[in-house]
Amino acid sequence: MAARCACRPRFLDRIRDEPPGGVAIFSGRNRGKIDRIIAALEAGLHVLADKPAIIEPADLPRLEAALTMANEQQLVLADMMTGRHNTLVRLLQALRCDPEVFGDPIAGTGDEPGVLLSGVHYLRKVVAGLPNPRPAWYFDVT
Amino acid sequence: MPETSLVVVDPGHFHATLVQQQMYPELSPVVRVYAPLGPDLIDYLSRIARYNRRPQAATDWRLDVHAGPDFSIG
Repeated sequence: MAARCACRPRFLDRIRDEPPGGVAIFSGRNRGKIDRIIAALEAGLHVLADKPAIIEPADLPRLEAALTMANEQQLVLADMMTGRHNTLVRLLQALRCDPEVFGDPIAGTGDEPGVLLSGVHYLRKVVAGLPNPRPAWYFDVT
Repeated sequence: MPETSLVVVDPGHFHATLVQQQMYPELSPVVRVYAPLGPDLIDYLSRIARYNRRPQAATDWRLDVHAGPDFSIG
């Protein structure tokens, strides 16, 4: 970790000055998010982070270390959008995974695809009646 | 005042504000915000302001914003 200090953004140091017991909220800015999560945990903060926590497979060990650290320090490290895990969604997932209910996925054809994507909320979204413009960096995949 | 407080870091997605749709008795109304001064921060502040000003079930968040020029994105 010492080697990382030289290039650590200053706010990571600031977060270390936060009194422990608070809850750090992370959303957006997926690259480097795991560094922020770890800094928050090291400061004794609980963490509610939007998905994804990491975007590179190489960061999986760091995510695992963060989860272990949170567990050892009895801190919460969790997905902030709990609706993804509510009873209705879990029930739908269970039904989707039951071949007797859902059947089997079909390969489909170009004219009749097996899977149709109808939601476009990642491109166009309305929240509480207002358009939710995506920032320009949202479309930067580099 | 409750000792547990939220610390919002570089809110780049409106999901950050969904956590603040309502007040919680266990949470301090004072929220510290660390972010670069820019459109994402302004968007976040606008959303929280709408929660605080809505006619029904208005929230009472008090934001302690740190948007110094030395803020850098990791």
